[in-house]
Amino acid sequence: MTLPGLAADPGEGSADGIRDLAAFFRARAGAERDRSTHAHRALSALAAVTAASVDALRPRITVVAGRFTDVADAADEAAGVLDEYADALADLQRRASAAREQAESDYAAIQTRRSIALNAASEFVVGWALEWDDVLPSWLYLDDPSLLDRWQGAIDDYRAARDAYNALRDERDQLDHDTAARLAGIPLIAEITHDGVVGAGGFVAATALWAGDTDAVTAEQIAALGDPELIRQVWDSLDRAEKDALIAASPDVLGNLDGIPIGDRVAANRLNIEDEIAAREAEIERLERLRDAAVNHSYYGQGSVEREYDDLIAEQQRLIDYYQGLLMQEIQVVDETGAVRTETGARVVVFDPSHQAIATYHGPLDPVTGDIPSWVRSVAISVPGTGSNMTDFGDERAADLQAAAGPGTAVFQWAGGAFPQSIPDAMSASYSHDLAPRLRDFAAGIAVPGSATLTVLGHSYGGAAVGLAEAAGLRADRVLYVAAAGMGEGVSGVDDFPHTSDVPHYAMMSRNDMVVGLIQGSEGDLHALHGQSTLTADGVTRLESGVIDATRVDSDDIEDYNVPGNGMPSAIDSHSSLYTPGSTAFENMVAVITGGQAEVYAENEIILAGGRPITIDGIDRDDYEPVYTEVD
Amino acid sequence: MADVEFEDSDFAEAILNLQKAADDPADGFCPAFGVLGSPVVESALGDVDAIIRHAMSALAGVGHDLSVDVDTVHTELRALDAQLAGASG
Repeated sequence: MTLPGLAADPGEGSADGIRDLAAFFRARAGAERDRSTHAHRALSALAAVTAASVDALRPRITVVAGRFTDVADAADEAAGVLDEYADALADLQRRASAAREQAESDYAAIQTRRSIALNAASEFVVGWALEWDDVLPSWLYLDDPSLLDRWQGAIDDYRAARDAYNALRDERDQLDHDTAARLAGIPLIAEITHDGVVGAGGFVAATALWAGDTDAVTAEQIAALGDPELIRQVWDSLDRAEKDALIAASPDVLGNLDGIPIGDRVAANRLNIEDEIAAREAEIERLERLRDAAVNHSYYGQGSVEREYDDLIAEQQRLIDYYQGLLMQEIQVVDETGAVRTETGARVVVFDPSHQAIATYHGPLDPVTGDIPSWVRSVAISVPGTGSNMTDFGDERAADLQAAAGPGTAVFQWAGGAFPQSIPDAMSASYSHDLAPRLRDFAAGIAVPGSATLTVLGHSYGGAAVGLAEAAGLRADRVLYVAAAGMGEGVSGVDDFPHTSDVPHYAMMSRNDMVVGLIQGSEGDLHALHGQSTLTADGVTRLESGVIDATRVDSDDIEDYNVPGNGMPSAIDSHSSLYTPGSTAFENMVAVITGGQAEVYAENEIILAGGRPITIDGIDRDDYEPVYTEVD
Repeated sequence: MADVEFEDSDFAEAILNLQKAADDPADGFCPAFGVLGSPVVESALGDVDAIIRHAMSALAGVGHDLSVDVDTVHTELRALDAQLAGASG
């Protein structure tokens, strides 16, 4: 019988079946306790042996015996939870059955009372308009009104019985919720999943790490851990041969996996780059075959057909040339003592053409850990802006910043996803929303030495990506927005950042920036293209863009400097000439990364001349004196 | 000279026990989780089941490695013993 308004069966499931499950887990517990006993017996058997090599084995056997017991305890605890669940379910089933019986009986009584109150003729005339819980209005009823009262009483009784039944459903939901929480809270389960941080995909690697038996884990299982810290732990537990085997088997996974040390990511990405070059070469061969076939079959316009294909081939060759350049690039590394060493090959720490993702590392590497050495004091991630792609992502900027900051600094140039390729594209915030969580996770995967700071700086569109990454939970010690499009769509200020609201924030932009200057949102303007302007946000210190050569006060202001030969006006050039090494702006970036004195923005002056207001740039004022702020 | 003292039977028993500890875990029949009647509990128990299963398997691997290592140590000690016996004439 279908009863109106009745919730799903609170007694769903089989109490006996659940007890069988409990027995199954108990049997597992018994088996694991037996194993523990065997391990202890092995220990006892070796008790009489005197040898240093056996002394080294004893703690290992003790540990594994304890872990067998841990598993047995977990299985027993699961069995206990299941038994209690079965008991509670059996009780619920009994009560649900009685409650349903009552509801069915009360519902049947409604029909009885209704048929007594309405004779067949009335049912025919007005019955169609009455729902199961409607009663004929008394003004329409000419018979004994107590019949209507009893009819209504039957409806009320059913409602009460239904509520009682539905309350059992709520009870069941609570029971299910509590039982699931108890299962997840079993100490071994909580320990291996790190209180639920590790999902099902990461169980194999997380369990292997716990058991001390990681030699059989795959790169994919390590990646499924999803937590850079855990990934690093598993990776560190492997020996060199195991790491090399995994890199050879799954370079595409490990080259881009946050938590893997830089040196190993670089090794994996060398393979990825070689694979990509091979793929592009194969594509060229395919295009050449297509071109030759097309030319053979065309009666006219062979030249234009050929040109079309040749352009595509040239594009593939351009990619190959760039990637080969990465492999052959000579880099100079300065170690702690100041000794300079030349190495071959860019340190590519992200390489995933399918996601338009690439990133490089500039700085020293610890020869043992393959990561940032402990003596490094400053680490930075530099995020480029619009137009960035696999072959043009501002890599030289990171190199310049690192060279200027010195060997105690490491700089990543990060373009870990698709960027807009044109100004109209950059009107869309979708790229920055996609980039933000990737940047947050990349930063989380960097092993920043304990005494070092991490600065994240973003240029132009990249500034908006940095702001959204902060909103998504980026952790950093300092943030610098360079000619930023904004703090990110929907961001109203630093208070929106869960982990960086209290860290120093800096911004800079030339006064005449024509690229992003006109789209700066004012305070609290959530309709601005890319959120709050970094220049006017509370808690953000604007730094001076200054002059193109900071050693010469008479050199061009950034605003006036025209990059030779590119044909752009200075108002466009000034968007990027901030990165010119030696400029005031560049020196300020270095100061933010390394900690030191950075020049604060000099406010413009407005004077009236001939009755008209004229703006004088702050650094051109008669009373201009540079003011510095100490970067913490 | 390192102090070394052992009986072959001690090692034999230790290895035998470690091998038993490392036996492939063989689960009995597991009832379908559908008997739980709740997707929430089913999911939670699925996680517990998977982790315990992986842990049993990983520990068996550790037990196996230990039995091999104990065997290796035993072999080395016997070789050392034989060497010492030869040296003492």
